[in-house]
Amino acid sequence: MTGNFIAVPIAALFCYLFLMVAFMAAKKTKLINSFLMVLGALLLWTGGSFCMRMQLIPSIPFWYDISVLGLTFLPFALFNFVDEFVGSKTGLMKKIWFLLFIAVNAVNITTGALLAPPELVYSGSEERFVYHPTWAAAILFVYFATIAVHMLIILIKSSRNNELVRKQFTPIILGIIILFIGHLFVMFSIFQGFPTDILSGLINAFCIFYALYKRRLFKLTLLVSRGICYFITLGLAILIFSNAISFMERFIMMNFPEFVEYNILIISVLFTLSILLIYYAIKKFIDNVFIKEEILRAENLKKFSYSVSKSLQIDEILEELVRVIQDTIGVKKVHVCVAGDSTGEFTIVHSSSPVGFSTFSIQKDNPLVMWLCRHNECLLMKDFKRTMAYKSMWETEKKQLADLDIECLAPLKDEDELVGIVLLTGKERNSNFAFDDVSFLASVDSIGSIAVKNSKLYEKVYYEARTDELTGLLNRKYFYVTIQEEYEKNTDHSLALIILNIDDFKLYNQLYGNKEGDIALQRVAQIIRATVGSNGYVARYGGKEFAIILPMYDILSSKTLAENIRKQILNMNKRTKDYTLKVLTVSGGICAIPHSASTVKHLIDNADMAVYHAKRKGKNLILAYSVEKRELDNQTESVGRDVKADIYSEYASTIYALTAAIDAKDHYTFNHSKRVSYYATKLAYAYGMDEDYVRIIKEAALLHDIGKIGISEQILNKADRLNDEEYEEMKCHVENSIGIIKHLPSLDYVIPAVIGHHEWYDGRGYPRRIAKEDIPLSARMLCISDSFDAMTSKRPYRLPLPVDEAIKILEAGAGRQFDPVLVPIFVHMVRNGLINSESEMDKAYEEEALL
Amino acid sequence: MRLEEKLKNLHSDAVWQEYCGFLDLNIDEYMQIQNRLMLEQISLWSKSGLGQSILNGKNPDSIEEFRKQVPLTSYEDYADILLLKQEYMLPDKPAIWIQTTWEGGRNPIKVAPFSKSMLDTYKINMMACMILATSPEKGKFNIKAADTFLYGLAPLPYATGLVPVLLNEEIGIEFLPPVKEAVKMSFSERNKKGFKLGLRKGIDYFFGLGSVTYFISLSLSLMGSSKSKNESTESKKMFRYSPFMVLRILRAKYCCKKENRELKPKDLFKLKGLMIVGTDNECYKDDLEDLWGIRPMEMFAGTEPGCIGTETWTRDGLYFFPDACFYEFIPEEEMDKHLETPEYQPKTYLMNEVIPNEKYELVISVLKGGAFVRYRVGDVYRCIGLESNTEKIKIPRFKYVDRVPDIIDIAGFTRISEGCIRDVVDLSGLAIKDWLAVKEYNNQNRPLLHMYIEMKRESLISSAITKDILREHLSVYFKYVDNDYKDLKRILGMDPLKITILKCGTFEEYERQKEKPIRAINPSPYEVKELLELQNEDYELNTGGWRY
Repeated sequence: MTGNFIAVPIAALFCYLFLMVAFMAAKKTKLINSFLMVLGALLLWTGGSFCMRMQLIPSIPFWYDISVLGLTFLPFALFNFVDEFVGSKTGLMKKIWFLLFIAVNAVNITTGALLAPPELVYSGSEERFVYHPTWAAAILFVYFATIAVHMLIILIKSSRNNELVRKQFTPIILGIIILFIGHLFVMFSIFQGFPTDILSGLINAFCIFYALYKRRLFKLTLLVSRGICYFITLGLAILIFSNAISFMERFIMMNFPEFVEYNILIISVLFTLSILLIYYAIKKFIDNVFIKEEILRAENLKKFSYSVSKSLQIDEILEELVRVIQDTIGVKKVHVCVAGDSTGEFTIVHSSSPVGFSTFSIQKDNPLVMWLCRHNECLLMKDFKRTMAYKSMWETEKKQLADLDIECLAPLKDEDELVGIVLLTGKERNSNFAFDDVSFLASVDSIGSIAVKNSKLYEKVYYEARTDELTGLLNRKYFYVTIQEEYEKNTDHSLALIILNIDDFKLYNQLYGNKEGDIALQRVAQIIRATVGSNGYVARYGGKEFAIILPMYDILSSKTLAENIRKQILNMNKRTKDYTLKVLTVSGGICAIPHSASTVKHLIDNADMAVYHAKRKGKNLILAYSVEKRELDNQTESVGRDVKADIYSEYASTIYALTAAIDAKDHYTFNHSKRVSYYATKLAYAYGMDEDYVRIIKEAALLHDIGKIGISEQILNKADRLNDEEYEEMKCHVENSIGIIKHLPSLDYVIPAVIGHHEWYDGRGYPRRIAKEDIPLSARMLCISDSFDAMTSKRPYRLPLPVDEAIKILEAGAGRQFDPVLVPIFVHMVRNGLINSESEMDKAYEEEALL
Repeated sequence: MRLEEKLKNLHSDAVWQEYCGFLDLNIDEYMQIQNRLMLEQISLWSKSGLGQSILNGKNPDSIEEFRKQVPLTSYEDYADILLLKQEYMLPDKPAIWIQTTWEGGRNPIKVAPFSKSMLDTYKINMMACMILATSPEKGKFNIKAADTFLYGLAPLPYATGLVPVLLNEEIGIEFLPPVKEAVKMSFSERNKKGFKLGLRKGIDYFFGLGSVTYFISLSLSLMGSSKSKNESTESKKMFRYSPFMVLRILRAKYCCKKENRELKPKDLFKLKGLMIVGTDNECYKDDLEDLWGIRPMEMFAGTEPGCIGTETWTRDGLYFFPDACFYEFIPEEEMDKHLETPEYQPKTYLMNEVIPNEKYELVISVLKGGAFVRYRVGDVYRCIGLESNTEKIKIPRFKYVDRVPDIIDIAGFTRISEGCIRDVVDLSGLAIKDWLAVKEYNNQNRPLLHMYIEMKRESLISSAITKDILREHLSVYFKYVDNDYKDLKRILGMDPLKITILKCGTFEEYERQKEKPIRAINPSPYEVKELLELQNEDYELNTGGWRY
């Protein structure tokens, strides 16, 4: 090798060392390790050869043996690399090649039989290494060739039916071919002195490097570290120093002879300064080319993290999230979907573009959502399209995503729960999403998820603190806050307040139970909320009272609104499919600032007063407050009572008509109803119910078996036990009773008692199988009275039970069939003679009839 | 990205997963796809004019409600709207209308609309079939853009005509001869041209009706081994071929000579995939394997449902694609009940409710805007397993049995119904008193239509009645009434009619003994046996006391 081409092995050595240092920093995999092994072999070969030619210590044969070691190790290292690249399992052959490599070197190092060290020949001023190869050198070539053929077979085999694999292998095959050609060229005189073999080795190393890069086995930026900067600086410094030192000495001597004695110092200082400059220049270059983007990303991430940690407002957090993604990744649009609390449906709540997404929503059972729930990673649409989950997407869902041009989705997760989805459109230059983008998104999303979760929790707590749990309306406390705020905001305008109070709601609860009462409250709240919409605020002002704050409303428009609500509530129960419920009505009062109040306190007091007047005037009425209303006299109350009495007398004739009808059909049932009515009335009084309620119980008892009109007489009067079919028919009398009563709207209040009088306290009765307090109180009273009379009466199929026996059965059934609280009261009355005999009962009934 | 680009840019595992990933689903995941897509279809179909015409104002919200409210349907339920191509009445705008024979003779054609998304699904499932056809084991396949495809299909507007169109959207496979030329050629011209081009370019795939595929394969064998009267003509012919083609022929001939057998297509061509559709494929599979050297893969496709199922690398039973149709299955017992009482609505079961070894009639609801819902396709399948350990597949596996019993389909060509045969008998003017028709298989395992005929007693002395006369006579009218029957002879050279004349009074005696008449079309083999045994008995005919 002539001195002119010394740069080739130096450059090769430098490149190998550079790659080695760089890959030392990369994430280690078997494949990367195998590449490092190839680099090691190349280093040994080129380095050994270079040191031998430089005649460095210890000796030429030593460096020669190192060089041959590298050269013979290279095929094995390449084989190992190909093996790992393909993922084939050639364990045995790999071992054989390794043993052969050991054997070849052992023989050659000890005997030099295969390829002896070259002889150093001096011709004039030139030194040359002359080789004396024998036939034994062919063994080495056979060794190389066999491994090369084996490698090619593996490569061809694994890429036969796979174009992608073939594309990946191309640089490796090319590298091997170049390596061979490089060695071949050494033989030609035209290349004499030029190290084509070393150059081919270098090209081969870069071919492998390219193959690894194409396979995305490492990140280019990760290879660039501070160590690399030092390494390059060192290399450049040696080059500059070795070439510039004599020139600098001469320059100082000729131009500044007075400083000759300081030339070492001057050169050292200049040299140090130049090294520093080189280092910073390289660092700057590397930062700009490789790491600038990384740094920018890290800074953006830090900023984002800081911003979201300061806020609990979800809008602010989402705005930051969108901004950081758009700034860093450079996508055209970013949308953030958050799951709705009730529906679980994901709707866009924030977007980088304010238009074009208002109707977008993703159902929680969307395969995309399910995928993001299961996997905690970003999803590229093009990858998702290849999954089976995509097959179950609806066409509308696919179109929705396509219309928004969504290319990437990132989950916002709180542990296992998906709280939101970030939707990204394509990138600005239509480039693909890179590994870095996906990693960045993952980092942003994990920070964003926590922030979204916290803000949602905050909003939930904030919401719960100001809303009523049952109805979802504002609570009383927040009502006062809101009305005060609105009062202050509307000092120059009007502010109306409507208070609505449900009429006879206590009775409704008693009739149908608290559960039905709660449902009614929810439905009333729903009606009010839907009607008011965004025009005002609705609050649950009291147990059965609702308040509506209406900024900018006057009395007239408030009354129109209130009337609308009143009518809807009036019709509310008429539409229910189930057993007819009592009609609910509301009484309402309206007051407005500045028309009839000047402060918040007056506003509320006056609206309350108007409600009071509406109640006094017969309920189901909306009244606006005016000063004259204060003068309402007490007449309303007495008139109200008279009206009630009239209504009852009107009902009485209907009830007697119905009982007469059952008497005509089945005299037993007629008498039985009378007795049950008597027992139930007594029980209701004893339990502390008021006059009105006792009247309802009495009427319900009289009508409770009215449905038996529809049961055949054979079954009603059958002397034997009823068979299953007959029993089923008998059970229908409850529904029959309701079928008759529901046509008499004025008697609808008895329905709860009638429908429930065969329900058992433990839920095993019929027809609805409801239990405990879900059974209306009136029905539980009827159940005891009905059973007691049935047991103590004479029937065609059995004699009456003695009273003591019946009491025992009642007591035994307390908590199972009967209400455990009511049974002791009833038993106490029977034992103490507070419930009279049958004749007295009849007498009482007749007196009542006369009245 | 087209399949061709995917093959270049994606790892083969990713390609396999995209197209054949449904084979990795378990039954719950499978049903999830079915149910979700069915809900989409219910919402599209219920809103359409077609849906409303069947639903009569009902509005089902769930699959259960839908199955309760919508009766099982047949083509008659759609004919008014579809035959007039009233697109505005359909759940989705049709991208193409596909046509086929409805019921031999009586109703000439039926048409089915395909929406854009149905075509997309058809295409992807078709590609899955192609991949599986070349697959020796799970995950391995061999499909290339430069592959060649021997054309043996019916052109558009028939369903098979979609195959080249959709295939070429995904991959540049070359058809031999090119589709544009092939549709203008006669059947034999096309085969000759295909053979010639195949010799030059090789043949990688072959796809068609099982019977047609078999017939073409036989033609190729004949073309390959055709012996000229003198050697010089043959040598001249050889010069027309390229050296490569000559080498191919010579190598094949040498091989045959060595093994002392006739030349077969497998000697000339190395097929990657052989796909067959239609009925009676079981009769041809072994022969096709012998001719081509690879086992044919059966696919399941039709005019109404599209491409719905395929076999896999084991060629042992088919799997239904989860996104083509929503599948319901009528068990055999329910099918029989319906045959006896046509008003009876048979119960149906879903894919996750089928039982191994049970025979089922398939009911489909075409997904993605299809017109047909709860539609009785008329095919019977047997469930042969809920999972396959050898294939490591966890969804039910089926085998095609035949058409429903009230239809006789010969080699995938004809759809002969009871009404059709009645028309033939009436038109023939023959003195046939009673008859029954059964689909049977001959000694070579080829399908045939066997008619058992009882002549009118009074005609016996006035007409010439032999089996041959009856066969010739009836064949003429079958060809007259049913064009497809004509094609059996024209394309396959088959004359599938077999006649057995029964003793006068046999049918009457059967009805007397069994207290019900025998089913006219495809009664069970036991019933036929009992009927034939009656001929040995000495019974009295209802002809005025005469004993025969």
